[in-house]
Amino acid sequence: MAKILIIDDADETRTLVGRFLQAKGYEVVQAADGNEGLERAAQDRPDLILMDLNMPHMTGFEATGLLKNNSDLRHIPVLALSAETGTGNRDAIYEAGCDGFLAKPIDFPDLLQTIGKHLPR
Amino acid sequence: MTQGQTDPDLEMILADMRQEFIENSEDRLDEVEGSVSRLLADAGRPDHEQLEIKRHVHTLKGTGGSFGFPAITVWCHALEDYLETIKELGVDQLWDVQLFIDRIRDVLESGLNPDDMEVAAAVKGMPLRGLSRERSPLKAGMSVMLLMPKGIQRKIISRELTTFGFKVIIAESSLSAVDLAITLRPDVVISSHVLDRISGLELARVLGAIEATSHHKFLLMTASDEIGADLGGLPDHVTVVRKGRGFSADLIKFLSAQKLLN
Repeated sequence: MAKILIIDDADETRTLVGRFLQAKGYEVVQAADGNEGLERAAQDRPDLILMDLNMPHMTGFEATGLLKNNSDLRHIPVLALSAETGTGNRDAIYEAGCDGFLAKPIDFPDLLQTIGKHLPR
Repeated sequence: MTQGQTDPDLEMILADMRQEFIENSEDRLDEVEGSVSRLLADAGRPDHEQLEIKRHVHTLKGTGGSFGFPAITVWCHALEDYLETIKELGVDQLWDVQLFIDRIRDVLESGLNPDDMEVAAAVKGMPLRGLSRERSPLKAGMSVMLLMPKGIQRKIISRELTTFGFKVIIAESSLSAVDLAITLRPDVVISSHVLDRISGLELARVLGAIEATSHHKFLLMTASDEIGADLGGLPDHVTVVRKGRGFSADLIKFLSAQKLLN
């Protein structure tokens, strides 16, 4: 089963999403900020990354930009997690290099469907 | 799985997680109440307790919507706004925090998410005494007599009415309510429908027939399934309000209709 990296500074979100994905059979790794997320991505080579955008120190936009500039990691699909789903923010999400986005609060069936669409076949 | 089909496995996982969310949230509310109690008792470290309150509220706000409780997110958002607005967390403000927590707990315990309009109206009309008095929604000098069985619900409603700005008079029985109403002339009477000896509706009729008390407005509290069942022929001065989580919204609607709000 695919491996998914969750990068989010909110413990609760990581725990909830992680538990849900594990219950659906995914392998889950977690990181609590952008820096740790980049390290985990390089070390664990996940099949997909769920990236919170609003994090302290390094935002999800910045972390995604760094991932997409790394030739070893740029192939990994990144789905942004954001409570701000206005058009302007969506544009910024795609400009940062994200492959898709999911609105917070998380709709779990939608999460599953979107992950399915972006996982490599 | 094609679109429109349900996935029993997914449904089961989500049902388990929803139940866990409810239990965890109740624990969080207990923690917040613990912090409020400690701060009211001048125990604990204020900075630490305040941070804990904010942390729990923020977490609840972020997760409520994922489990079919967007109202919890709205209430938590309003509480966060409130905590941002106030300068200090004194006694009045702590009671306000408790009021928010009561609302959130009402939603959790009901297991149902209230109608959006109901939540919006309730949030808008929150009787917050920790803010400046100019923002109190109620006209000054209003009194209310409350008649309902002794217990936690009476305590909650009494506290809510007090924070709203009412002077609250508690009546212990329907007979003492008549006596108090004649003596103290409350502007509003709020009574449970189900009482010992005579019903709330009968009490409303009695008070309406006495000249000294005929000016008052009467709010009759019922469980929602009682409405329309045995409350036919309501006198003009009687308004039915719901017990529990609908009470606050109904009260605000009533006060607004009676032009008792500033």
